[in-house]
Amino acid sequence: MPERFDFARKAIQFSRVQRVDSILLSSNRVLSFLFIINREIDSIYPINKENLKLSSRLKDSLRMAYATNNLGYYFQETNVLDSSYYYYVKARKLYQSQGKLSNEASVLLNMAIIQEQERDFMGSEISAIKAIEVLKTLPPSNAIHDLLWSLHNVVGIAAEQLQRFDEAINYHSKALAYANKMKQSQSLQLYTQTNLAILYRRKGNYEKAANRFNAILKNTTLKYEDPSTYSLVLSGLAYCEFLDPKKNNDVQIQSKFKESITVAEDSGFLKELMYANQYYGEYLLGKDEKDSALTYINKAHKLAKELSANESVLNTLLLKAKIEEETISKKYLLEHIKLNDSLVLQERLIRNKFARIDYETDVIKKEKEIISKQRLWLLLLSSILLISLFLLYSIKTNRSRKRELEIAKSQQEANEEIYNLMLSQQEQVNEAKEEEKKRISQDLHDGILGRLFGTRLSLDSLNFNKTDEAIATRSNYINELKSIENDIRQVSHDLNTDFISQAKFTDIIESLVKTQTTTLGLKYDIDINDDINWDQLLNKTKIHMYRITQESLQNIFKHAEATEVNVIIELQNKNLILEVKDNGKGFNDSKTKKGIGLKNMQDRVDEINGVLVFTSQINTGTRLRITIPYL
Amino acid sequence: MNKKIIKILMTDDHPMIIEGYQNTLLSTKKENQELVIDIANNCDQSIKSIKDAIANNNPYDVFFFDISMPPSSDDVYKSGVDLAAYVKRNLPSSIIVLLTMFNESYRVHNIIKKIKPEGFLIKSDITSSELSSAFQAVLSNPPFYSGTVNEILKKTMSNRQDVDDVSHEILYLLSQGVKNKDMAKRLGISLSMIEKRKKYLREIFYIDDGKDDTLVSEAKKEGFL
Repeated sequence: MPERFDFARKAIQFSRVQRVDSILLSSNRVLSFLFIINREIDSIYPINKENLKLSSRLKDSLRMAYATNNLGYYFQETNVLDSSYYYYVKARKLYQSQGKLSNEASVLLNMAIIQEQERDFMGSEISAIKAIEVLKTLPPSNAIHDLLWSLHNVVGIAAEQLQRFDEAINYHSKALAYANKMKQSQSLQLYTQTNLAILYRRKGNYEKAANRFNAILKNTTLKYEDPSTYSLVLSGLAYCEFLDPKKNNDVQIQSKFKESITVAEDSGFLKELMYANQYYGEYLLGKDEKDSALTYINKAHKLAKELSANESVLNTLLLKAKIEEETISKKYLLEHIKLNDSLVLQERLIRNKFARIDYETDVIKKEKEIISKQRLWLLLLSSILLISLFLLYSIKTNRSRKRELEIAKSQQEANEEIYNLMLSQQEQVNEAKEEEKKRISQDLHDGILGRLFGTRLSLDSLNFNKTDEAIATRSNYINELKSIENDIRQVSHDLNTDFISQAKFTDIIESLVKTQTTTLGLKYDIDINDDINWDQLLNKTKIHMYRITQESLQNIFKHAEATEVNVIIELQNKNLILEVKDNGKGFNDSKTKKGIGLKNMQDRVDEINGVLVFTSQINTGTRLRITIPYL
Repeated sequence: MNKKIIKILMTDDHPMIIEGYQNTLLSTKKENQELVIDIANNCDQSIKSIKDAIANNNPYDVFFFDISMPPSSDDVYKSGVDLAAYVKRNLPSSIIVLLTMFNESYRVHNIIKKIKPEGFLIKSDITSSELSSAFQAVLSNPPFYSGTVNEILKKTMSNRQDVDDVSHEILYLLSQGVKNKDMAKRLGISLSMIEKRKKYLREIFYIDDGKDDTLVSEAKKEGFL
């Protein structure tokens, strides 16, 4: 056995090192079990307190039940009955929730025993009957029968205390039947039989009682095997015979009383001794031997007080009052009444206390429910908060990512747009080139070749003629050849001019201004500085410049009633200036609200980090000036 | 000696060339020939003279037509070929001499096929003596074709049945660098039809790539152009 303790303790140590609650809990349970079977009562409390904490942390209801049950056991053993009852109530609910029926029943039994001990007989009966109901659903076994015997026994005792003797007899009979079904249950049988005999006696059925007592005493070895029962049965039988008016064999009765007292005294069975003394005293009183009676009754009274056997205290007080003279008798009666009242009050208080414990655990349960509900709400709210925060965050990142994409996309679009513009400009250039080529070819073919051919033919024909006239004509043709030479030079010059140059941004702007103003019927003047290196500007900047020019030309057409437009692009102090002027009616720039067109323009300018300035006065036209960083 | 009067209409948009013709013909005509030469510098003048002459019952015997000229103002006569065609219809017995700078096989073939002129001269071929002998030849023993024309005609013109006139013209227009859509307008057929025909031509010439240049050069090898 000491080894088992060692192992269990080592297991706990390892578990603590490992810091795994469930393993620690298991190890603790083993040790706790060892404490219980070895009745090391004081050690039970701390280990189970820890187990209760661990198992509630692990939300392990069953192990919580075990620990709680053990705590109840601890308090029961240390006679702190209200705490014990409190833990048992909790243990019972936990077992109930886990469907551990036999455990629930045994806890209920313990509760019933405590209630019975504290004279809450009604409560005890209720608890015990609940347990019996629970056990009825389980298949029979020795352990179940044991429990059922105990429960019926408790109910029987409670009924007896409530003066319901028939019921008590009924329950004890049932207890006896269960005891009979069990193996090695002689002591239980004996105990129940004794109870039954006492019950019959109390009921006033002395003959039956005596028969039962005698039946018990038929076991001749009882005196040695179970002297306490022997003593109790003997005094019980003697008392019964004394009470039975049909029997008055005083010698036998007295010898039984005396043997009972001797046996109890020899073995130190105080309770049995108390009963024997009380009964014997009563008997002596009945025989009017007041002095002897008082001696035994006083002994019984003293023992009853020592044992806190209140019922016996009360009974002995009554007996003493009967024996003594008026004033002393009165004193005993008063004491009896006082004690009785205090007992009744105490019983009521205890009943209330048990009821309160029952109720309070319910209250605690409800409070727990409320708390858990609050926790649920808290959890719900905080998770909602968390989710919405997350959502907000993701929306924000999404938005910024989207914006980045949009910026990249607009950049891309600007590139594409300028590329397309360049392309179409290039196409125009190519077309012009093609046209020019065709024209030159036509020139060569139709004009110069034809003339050469004609001249050649004419000169050729003049070969036949050698007259002066012919010589003069020939010189005409030679002059013609000279003029053809000039024509060829012209063609050559045309070919040499740089109409094949790449499409430039300037060309794009120029062709925009040209086509727009032509379709709108405006005169235009355009002046773009050739020193501007367009390649170093972003396509985005160029496309915005293009769009702004386009937009402002449209504005001029729509609103300005102008006849002339002047577009200037120049360099000024490391800035690029785009200026679009008209000679229209103008507007009061301080009073005019910005329209969508102007706003668009402003957005474009902002995007290329430019500055937009409108200057306008009534009838002097409008000037749009945009300054863009160039270097 | 009775002089034979030959009535001639020369049409060319370059006065210099007409002068050359006149100089040559006048200086090389036979003794018994008397040349009456009218000149026209464009299609309008030319058709007017032709019509007037017919109306006066005094038609021309010989016509010199330049082929490429600006079209007539009513756009009916787009070139010398159209004028020649008119003459062929109305004065079938008259002599037509076509003169041109162009020397593409296809056009030459087409014109000969369409007009059957008595004379066909490529301007770059001829000297004044050649022009003179051409003139005499068309009068007495037509037709007369200048050297390049003869060479073009000598080249065995592909007789493939799988290349019809339209396809042939497409090949020609391709060689001139005409774009598909302009070609469609010119030929009066749909763009998709042109593409279909080009695809077909590529197949029959065993051309792998989609380039017009390859098709044109293959067609030249085959004698279509």
